[in-house]
Amino acid sequence: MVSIAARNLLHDRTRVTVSAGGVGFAIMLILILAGTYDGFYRQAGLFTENSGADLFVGQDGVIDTLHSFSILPLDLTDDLSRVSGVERVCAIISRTVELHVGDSDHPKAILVGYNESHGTAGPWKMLEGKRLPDRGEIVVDQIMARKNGLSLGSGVQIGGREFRVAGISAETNMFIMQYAFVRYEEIEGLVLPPATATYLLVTLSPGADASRVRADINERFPGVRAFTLDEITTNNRNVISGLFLPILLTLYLIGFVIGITVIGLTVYTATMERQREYGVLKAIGSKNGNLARIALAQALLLAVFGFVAGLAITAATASLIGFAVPEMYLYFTPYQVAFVFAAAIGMSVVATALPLSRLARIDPASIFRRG
Amino acid sequence: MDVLRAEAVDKVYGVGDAEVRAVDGISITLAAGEVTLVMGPSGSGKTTLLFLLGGLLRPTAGHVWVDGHDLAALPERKLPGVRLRTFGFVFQDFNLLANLTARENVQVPMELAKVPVAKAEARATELLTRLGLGSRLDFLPEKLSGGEKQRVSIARALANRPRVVLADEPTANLDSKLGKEVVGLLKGAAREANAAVVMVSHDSRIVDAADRLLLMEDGRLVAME
Repeated sequence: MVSIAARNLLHDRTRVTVSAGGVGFAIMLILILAGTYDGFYRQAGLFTENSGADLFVGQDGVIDTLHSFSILPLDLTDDLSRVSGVERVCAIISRTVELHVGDSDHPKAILVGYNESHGTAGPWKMLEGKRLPDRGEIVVDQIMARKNGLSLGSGVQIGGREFRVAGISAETNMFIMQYAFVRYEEIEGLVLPPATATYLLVTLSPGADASRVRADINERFPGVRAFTLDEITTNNRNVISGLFLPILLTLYLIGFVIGITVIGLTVYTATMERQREYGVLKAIGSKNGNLARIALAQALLLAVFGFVAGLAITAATASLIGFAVPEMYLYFTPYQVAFVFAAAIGMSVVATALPLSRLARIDPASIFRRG
Repeated sequence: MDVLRAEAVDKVYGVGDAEVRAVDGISITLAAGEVTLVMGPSGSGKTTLLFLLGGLLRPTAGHVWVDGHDLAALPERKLPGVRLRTFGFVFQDFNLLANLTARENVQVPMELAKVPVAKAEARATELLTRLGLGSRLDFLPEKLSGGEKQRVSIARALANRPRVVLADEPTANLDSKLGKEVVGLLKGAAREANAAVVMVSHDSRIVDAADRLLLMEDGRLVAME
């Protein structure tokens, strides 16, 4: 029966091509959304994951590093250092600032004052230049560099102070903003009051239990809150989930409905065109189940064609996005592709409902009527 | 040997003043290898009788016995299986599947009956060759003449070795010579397969090919020769 399905479907190649293209666009929509979401989700945790710390300590009430604002007295560093199981405490600054590039461009960046003594919270992946800038130097993200015409040696102003670009980092793009890194001492008192830090990053002694030390800090130091690396990373990623997931699910649904509609209409049209032939099959003894298999096989074939077209359209669209909107970071995984393939199969199964009801109503005796 | 027996079969459409008795108390038996021609004016109930005999319609009253089954009493879901294995159908408009070759069209009922593909292909080839289409096996219907299409339709009807072949106006779209030739082929092939044949037709030129002639009028059998 599959040969009947394929022959009937492929009989009108233009229609199949257009339909596969339509399904392909629905697949592309779902894949790009999934890629965007996973891209943001991944990026949201990279800074904390690569910070080199075991615990993040912030002001009480702060639960993530992305949209909460924390400010802590610098002398807390010494107090925390005395907690059992703590090997080292490093103060860092993380603030959203405006960079001045040339006369007119003022891009915003998440400026991190990394700990120059231990390299904690510095950039973790470099494209070129130094990973840890010296005095008067800054490391900027590759997207920011590209968008603002920055390269090694370019000048950037922050709060009236001049910095020279010493390195270009990768994986430090947060879509609307990018990370930039300078030494802590350079911006202490510039973007925060003197003798303050945004976070204190704790490195544990070998064998120390992170959960226990965290609980100890939370108990002994009112007004601060300690997180394990997993907790703060998860919290950061949950910010992204909370912002994007409802929108994403809605758009997923739209993509899914478009796919179902295109497949459903195509298979329905192919069924209607061959209604008489289905009547013949029924008359000679085909059960509705056989006809359902033909319709389903057509829908599945269309879904597979659409999926392949969708992968090609996605690849082209992703290249275009990378060129036109470099901040939009797309992250594709085999899991997503498998999910979208399953979605395409799901679309075809749902889309078969319409032609199926039509097939079930065909009266086999009707084919004896003339015309 | 009788292969089909219809007993006091009625088919009534509508109710009250709108009631139409399309078939009225018909009883017939069909013997293996026998060719029965049903004739009568338009609206006499010939095609309805064909539907009733082939399990495409359920009688309002009466019984149609075939292979030990009463088609009138069989549940709906079992009728396709009986049609597939017990009946072969030949249509006026041939009704071949346009995107399948002649051989594939003949294979379809066997595929539905779950005959292994190689076996189905061999039988389709054999049937078509016997009907003079050995050189047209891989032709699509659009490349075949009317007579060739009807021969493919006959081969398809015989594919599952049916007990009864039901043919609805099999010569209507063929010229006189071709019509006689096709009916002759149908008769020969059915005899060889020991199947009963019922043909419904307006075409008096094929009367000679029939072993028995039934005349219908207003849903009743008015003559049997």
